[in-house]
Amino acid sequence: MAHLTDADLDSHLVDLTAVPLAELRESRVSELVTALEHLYDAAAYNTGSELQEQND
Amino acid sequence: MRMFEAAQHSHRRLTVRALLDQLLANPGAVGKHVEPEASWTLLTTAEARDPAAVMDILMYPTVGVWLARALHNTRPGNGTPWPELGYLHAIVAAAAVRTGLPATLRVPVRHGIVSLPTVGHARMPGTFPIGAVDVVSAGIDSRIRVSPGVSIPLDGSDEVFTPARQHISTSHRLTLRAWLDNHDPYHGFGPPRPPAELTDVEFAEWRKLVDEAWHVLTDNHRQYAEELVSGLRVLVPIEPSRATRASSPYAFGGIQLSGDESATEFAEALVHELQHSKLNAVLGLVKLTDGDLTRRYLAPWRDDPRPLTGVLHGLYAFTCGVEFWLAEAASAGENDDALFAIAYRRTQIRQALRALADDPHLTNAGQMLVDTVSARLATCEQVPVDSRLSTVVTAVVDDHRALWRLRYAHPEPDTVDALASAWCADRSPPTWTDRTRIIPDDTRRLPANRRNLLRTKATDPALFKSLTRGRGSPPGTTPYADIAFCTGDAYSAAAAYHRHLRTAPDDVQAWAGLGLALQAQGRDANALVDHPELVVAVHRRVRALTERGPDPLALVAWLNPATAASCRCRRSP
Repeated sequence: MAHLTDADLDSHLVDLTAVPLAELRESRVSELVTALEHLYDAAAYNTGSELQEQND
Repeated sequence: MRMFEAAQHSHRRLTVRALLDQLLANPGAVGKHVEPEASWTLLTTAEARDPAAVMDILMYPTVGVWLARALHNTRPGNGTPWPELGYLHAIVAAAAVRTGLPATLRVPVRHGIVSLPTVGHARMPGTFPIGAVDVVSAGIDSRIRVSPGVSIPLDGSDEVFTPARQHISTSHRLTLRAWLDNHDPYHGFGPPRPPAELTDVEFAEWRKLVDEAWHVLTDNHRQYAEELVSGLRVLVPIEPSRATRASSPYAFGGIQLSGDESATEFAEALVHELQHSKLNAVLGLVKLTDGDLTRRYLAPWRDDPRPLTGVLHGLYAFTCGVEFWLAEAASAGENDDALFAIAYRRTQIRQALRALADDPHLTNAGQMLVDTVSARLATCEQVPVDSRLSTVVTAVVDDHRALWRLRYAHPEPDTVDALASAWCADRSPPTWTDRTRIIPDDTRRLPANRRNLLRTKATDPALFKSLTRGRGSPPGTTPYADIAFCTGDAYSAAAAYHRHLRTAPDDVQAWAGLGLALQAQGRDANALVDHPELVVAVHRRVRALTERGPDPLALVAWLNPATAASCRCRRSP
């Protein structure tokens, strides 16, 4: 792993592991809304078919 | 790995919410057979009963692939029902069964299979095509209801249903546990595909290979073995005939592998693919690249132009691979294949690192990753490699780069016109600014005859001897020139490529070979080595203007100074 520190990881993803799905749906906190916007932006490019495949 | 897993888990949960919100706003993408809101209610209820089970399902690699596909294909504007949306019911049905939540869900049948992630799969009886079945979650009576009179119990008592299987390997007191899944419609980490059909013998051999590879890893690569224990979730066995090793940005902890390799190669593949999962998790946390997402680069280990993140993936994963092979060579002894892998990969990685030097599209974190990889590679480069092997792998890498540029690099037409006009007017070539565009407009594999021959020279000298002294006709458009080059006769090779270009002036293999042969003689051929696409484009343009092609060697010599001036700082990719 590269020597990335916590400070370098300017995470734009909120820790949602402890938030029940039922609550997650209703949440409107700004960090979450920003993360959702990132997801929707990325979905325009990410088709879900991209592979890391060795072919040489 | 725990941090990466938590980040991916958060990402999956957020994606589920994003998808449900999107479907609510875009009901046209849903159709009449899928009930997103009812599914959501069941999923949240299942989670309240057993959060770990729902996490296990959401983190299943194929679920990640489907979520990415669903979010992409149901965006606003896509107003027709997306036919793959029914997999949402399969996810929720799996959650209901795993948590004992009473429910009935209509689940799609694909390629004759009903697949419930982490629960198992059923092959539909009979030959009559079935589009969907009901999964009835009812505790010990859970079943797949095919029709009012036909049900398949999920308790394993009917051989039609195969419960989800885990492969467990233990070696040197370290245990690997991973789901095996070649039946989920997304096991290919892309569009739905039929199950990978392995015979019983092939499947047994494949599992044996996992055990042997695990022994290699625990014995000699303990750190990677521990990573795999934490991060590997699903192994996808692929038929040996398909020679595949792959992972996906959306399938954290998922690795697809065919069993056509040695145990050591299989172990290296596991390490390699897990590095992709790790880097994908990093990319979910921090931006490594910035700017034009459509820009494409040479990745020396791939035939197709790749985005910058793809190059970073290869740099990182292949550097780990070089370290793996060095450790193997140190402990298990050297062999030609391992020595070739070490020399070849580190040459490829160094070429890619040079091309990325000061790339403006790397963020600070991206540059840090590149610098770290470069430092780790420098350590690997301290290990000496036989000079003859080094010459061979350099030729393989240069050949690939030349053919790649001849396929995908498109010089600016004004530059080509200016150079062709200067040639025709018998003037010195003007200096030019490199505005070459990389256009991934061709999905065919690059020609590999010469590279295969060189690889054989390094890894199987006896076969190489028989191939180059045989009476049969070798493959490719320039077989005899290739043999001359590969056997070290650069003079005869250059002459043969040169001769061939008189009658076939557009043959890219001959142009690339000519560049290699001139370089091997120590002659200045930088125009043809660095920008073969420009040499060929100018040659073609002059032919169009004068109906007579310039002599290739004279054209290269004429272009060399201008190319050197234009590329003084560094080679372009």
